[in-house]
Amino acid sequence: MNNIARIIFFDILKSKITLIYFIVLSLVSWISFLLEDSVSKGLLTVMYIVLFSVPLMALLYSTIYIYNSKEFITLLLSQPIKRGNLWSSLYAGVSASLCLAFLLGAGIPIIVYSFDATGFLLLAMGTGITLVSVSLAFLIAVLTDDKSVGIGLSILLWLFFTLLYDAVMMFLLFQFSDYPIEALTVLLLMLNPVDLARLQIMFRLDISAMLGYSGAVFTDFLGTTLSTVLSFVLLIAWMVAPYRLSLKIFRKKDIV
Amino acid sequence: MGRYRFLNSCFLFLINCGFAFHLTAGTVHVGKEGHTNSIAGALQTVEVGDSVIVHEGVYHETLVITIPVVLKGVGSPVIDGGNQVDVVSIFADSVVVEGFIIANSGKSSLKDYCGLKINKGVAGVVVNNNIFTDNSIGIFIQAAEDCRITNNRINTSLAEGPLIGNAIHCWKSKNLAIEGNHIRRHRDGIYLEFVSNSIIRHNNVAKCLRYGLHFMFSNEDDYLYNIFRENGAGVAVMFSSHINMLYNTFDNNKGGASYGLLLKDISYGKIAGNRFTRNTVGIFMDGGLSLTLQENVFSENGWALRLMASSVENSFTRNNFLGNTFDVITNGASEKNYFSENYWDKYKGYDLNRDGIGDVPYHPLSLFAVISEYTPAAMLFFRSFLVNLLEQAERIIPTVTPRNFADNKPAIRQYAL
Repeated sequence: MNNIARIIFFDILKSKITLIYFIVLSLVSWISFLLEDSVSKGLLTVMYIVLFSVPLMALLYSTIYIYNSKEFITLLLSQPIKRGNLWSSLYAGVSASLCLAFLLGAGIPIIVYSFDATGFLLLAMGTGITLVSVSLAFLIAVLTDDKSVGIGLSILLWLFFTLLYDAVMMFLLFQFSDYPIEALTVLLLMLNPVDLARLQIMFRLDISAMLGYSGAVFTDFLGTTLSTVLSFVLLIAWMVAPYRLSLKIFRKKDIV
Repeated sequence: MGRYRFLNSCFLFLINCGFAFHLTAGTVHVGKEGHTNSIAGALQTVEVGDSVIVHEGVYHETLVITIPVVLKGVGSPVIDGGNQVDVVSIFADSVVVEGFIIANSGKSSLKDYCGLKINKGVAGVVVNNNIFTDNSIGIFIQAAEDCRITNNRINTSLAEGPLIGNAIHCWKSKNLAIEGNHIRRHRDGIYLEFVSNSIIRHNNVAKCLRYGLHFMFSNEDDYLYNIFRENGAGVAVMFSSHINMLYNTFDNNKGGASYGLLLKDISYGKIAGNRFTRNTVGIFMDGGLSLTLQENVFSENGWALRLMASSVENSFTRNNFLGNTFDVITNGASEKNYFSENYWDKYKGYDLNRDGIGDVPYHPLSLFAVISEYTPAAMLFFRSFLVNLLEQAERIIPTVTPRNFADNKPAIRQYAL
């Protein structure tokens, strides 16, 4: 298993895409920290990268990678290797290379400029979102054999998490603003990994404003250790669940 | 010249003797090697202008000073009021109280007991370099004039809300100087009611339950170079006019009803050179009239400015707005306040003629600030992709935010303040 993961890891590193991903990430992060007049503004820019670019890259790249390595996977399956082992090695290889690119690209400037809880939270959320996106990409790849459908699905999923879900939630919030639905909104938002990461980071960066709202949700739940722990539990659930499902489907699948 | 030298030195010697005699004659020592072991006892023997030197030790007594004396502590003697009445009460002019630890005044929710009380009609009292601990009210100045309260440390460890009074409570007084005091954990740090022509300078007030500094009906006062940090509700200046607030620091006053500086019905004042950092609201202005706010720094606040519609004709010039979640929020629509030449870090305009002033106006009121004002829960969507798109659209075609609420001459570069 380790051998296969290593081969995939280096194969991905050798293809220029992750290198370009790394370069773009580090360029944007360094420039935003260097040009903005305060660290918090730099952190905000990096937060936007974590929330929007990281999931897009991880989803699209992993989906495409699985489709492109169809022949490689078929070849390996003809060897005496367990299907589960192969799938987990694939996951380890792909996610490790993407996480490495993120941690080196955005992580170094974050640690240099913001060596504190907020910086580490941002790094953890970035890594978490990468892993979640790779899991979802794996699920998409086993669900459909058509490459174009798979890529379309992953783009749709990205749009859903970053834009559509918020739009629907916000619409509901305004429609039912006469009712006490704050707690429910928080709960529903936390089901979306991107929103979950955003809420956690926002409560670190905009803490002064957040304390201005008297709603119990703002003061008693968000920003507390409990909510941070819950966020990580939910993120891990988002990593594990799609991956386990994809593994289950892959095991029963005919060839790939 | 030579022959007068001897006479000269004789004369000087006599003068010196006279001084020394005068000093020793008017000085009473209290404590270990002193004349008496009771300060109150010593106070009964002294005459006008005498000094009482109190040596270190704990004195369980309460003092009533009725003649002008200098009361000086050597080695921080403790005057312990034993949780009864006022510890030191001054009824005479020109009293000096210096170098004591004044502790344990009475505690009552009916009467205002205090560590040191300057009573009605008294003038010229100096309270310098004392430590006040566990008093209900630290220093109470009641209808007095020309008093100096300097370099005191005032603290209390009381836990019950109603028993905790203000650290320095001034009522109906004139020409006070409150300088260099270090105040912690009282109800209000410095409370001024009907106090005029006074100066509050270089004080450090933190962790008070309510306001760090509280002005009521106090006109023509200046407060300069003070630091107000982590107070329950920041600083409140209410129903006063002609107040100058310069070079103060308002830091870390956070909470649903917490403001760096709360201005309520304030007119004709100047607020300049202050720093507002990490407050929920930097300045909350309700009923501000003709105030000049310039060269202040607002950084990392939730809302830098919250202007109520009742605030008119105030001018905001040459301020720095850095890293605030929202720069300005208002419930008024029309332009009744004047913004010019401020530096806004959210400004995205350009400066083609390179004069340091942006060519397009900056609208400090953001869409989301307005939305979250009506639906606070919408704040949960702040900084999402969707909200960013909405903000951009609003900047191009304003529909919710008033068009004329703008800084027409936004600065391109941050001021060095």
